[in-house]
Amino acid sequence: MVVGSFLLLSLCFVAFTGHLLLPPGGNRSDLSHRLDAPSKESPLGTDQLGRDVLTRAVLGAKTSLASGAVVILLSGLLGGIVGVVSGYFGRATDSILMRCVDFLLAFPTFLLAMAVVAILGPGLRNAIIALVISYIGPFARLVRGVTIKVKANEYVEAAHSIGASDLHIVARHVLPNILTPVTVQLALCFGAAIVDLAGLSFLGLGAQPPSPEWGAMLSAGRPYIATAWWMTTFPGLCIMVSVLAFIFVGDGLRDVMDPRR
Amino acid sequence: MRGRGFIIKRVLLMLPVLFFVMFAVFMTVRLIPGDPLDAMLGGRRISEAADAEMRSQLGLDKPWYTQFWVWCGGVLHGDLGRSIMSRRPVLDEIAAKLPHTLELLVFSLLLAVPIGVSLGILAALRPRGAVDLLATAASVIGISMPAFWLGLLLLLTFSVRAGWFPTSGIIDPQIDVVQRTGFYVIDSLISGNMRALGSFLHHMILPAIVLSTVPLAYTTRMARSSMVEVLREAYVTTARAKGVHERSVITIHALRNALIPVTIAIGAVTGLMLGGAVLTETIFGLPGMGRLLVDAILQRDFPLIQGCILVFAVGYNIVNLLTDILCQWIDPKARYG
Repeated sequence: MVVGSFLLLSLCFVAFTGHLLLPPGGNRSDLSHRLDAPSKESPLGTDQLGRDVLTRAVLGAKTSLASGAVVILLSGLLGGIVGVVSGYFGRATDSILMRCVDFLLAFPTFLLAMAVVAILGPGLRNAIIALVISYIGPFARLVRGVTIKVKANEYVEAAHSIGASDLHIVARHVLPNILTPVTVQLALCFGAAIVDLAGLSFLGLGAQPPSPEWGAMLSAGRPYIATAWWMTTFPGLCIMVSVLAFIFVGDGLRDVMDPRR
Repeated sequence: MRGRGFIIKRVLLMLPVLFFVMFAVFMTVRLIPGDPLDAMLGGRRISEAADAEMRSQLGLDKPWYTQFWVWCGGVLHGDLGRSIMSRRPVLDEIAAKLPHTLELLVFSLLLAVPIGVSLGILAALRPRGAVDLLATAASVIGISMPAFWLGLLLLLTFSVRAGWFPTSGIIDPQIDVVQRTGFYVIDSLISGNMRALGSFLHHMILPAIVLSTVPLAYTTRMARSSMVEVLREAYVTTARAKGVHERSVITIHALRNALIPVTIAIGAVTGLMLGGAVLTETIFGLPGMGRLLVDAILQRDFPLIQGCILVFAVGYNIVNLLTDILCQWIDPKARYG
């Protein structure tokens, strides 16, 4: 948890303030310095257009973290609503909603995202929309399962028996008690969202050039892999560190919030 | 619900899902903003006669429910339309590429499952030992490291720098293989062409390693936690108290029960592998379904996009069905909702 939190805070600091600490103009093309190896002037080297890889990696952090946050929050919210309604009301509502979720889960997540991008067209915004749609199913299933467990508790039955409304019970009893497992899963899935977004950009379906996005940077570095290893190494390292941070935070949250551990 | 009854029920439950998959794939083209044919042509100009012919061929001149009915009929007869780019039947394009993707998936699983299960079980038997640390590190790295980045690093290190492995392709282009099934392994063995088999395996090593990292990580993690739980069960304690040899405790009493969640995890991870296959084939230039789908999306070749997604989705659901049946076979007492 400590290591994960430190990594995450460092990432957020770099993402949102890092560009202020870097020399200006690093993201501008400078063909006289294309494919320069790492040096004092450019610690992570330059790319095929002479742009500083460090500057683009820092700008890419903002893109990746912000996009990942949008994916997770939106899919968590939509999946959560479906899951709570389905798990709380049960019966016909549950059957109908879960059949809809099953239809979403009939497609592998990444391929569903690719199919949505195929409809909407490549681009970062469309990739985010595609991933939101892909992640709704798993979140809905998770929240439904947890809601059913919470609903079976006696305090919920007691609230019913004293005449509390469904809305009151959901707001005061269900939501606070499902928050823990859902928060842990959100943290763990954040890393997956960053990787999937980078994967779509790597294939040319997500962020488009000249956007500084880690997956797009990896894709741009592929043709130069023999002569400019830094173009593919450092953006990939950024992705891995981000995912590790979220895994550590998620595991740490699970340990902290689970009274049995 | 046991045996045959469970299988029949599970197959019947899959049918509406497959029907929805077909409907969703059919709607892929119809959901595109604007005219679907204009979207497919991507600004390319064609004559009025060609326009009319394409609309008729794609059924765009009929009501959507008629189009869907005709399309379903075509799919069930093996007619997935024609690729706009190559003008070849979509089924032929898929038939040429699908075996390569299946071979990649099988090789990756053959790498991941035995290593992952063995590592996980050994880690569980010696908690906090060297193997346990290795298993934990392997699973964390496998989950956190993007497979496409690992692919690029392996390509750089072992292909570009060391020259030990080829940089792209599925087989040495100078080797001729008589194509009977489309699977290089089978065709090489049938024709006795060991050189082709060797070349194919040589080309497959790095892609299989890349694609196996995620299933290896999940399998290791699941095998370890599952084995740890099973070893805490009362019947294992009883067996040890009765003086049963430790090897028998593990292989006869613990292992089979520990493998049930692992089997479920392998089935679940297959979906992740399909996405990984797309990326792996792109990195290593493998002529598989994944690369075909990416090219089709970038070229807006919608009949080909539809065909590829349909095949992937149907395959994914069949794997889930087989996983459920396998779990039922391993543990007939299990109830699956």
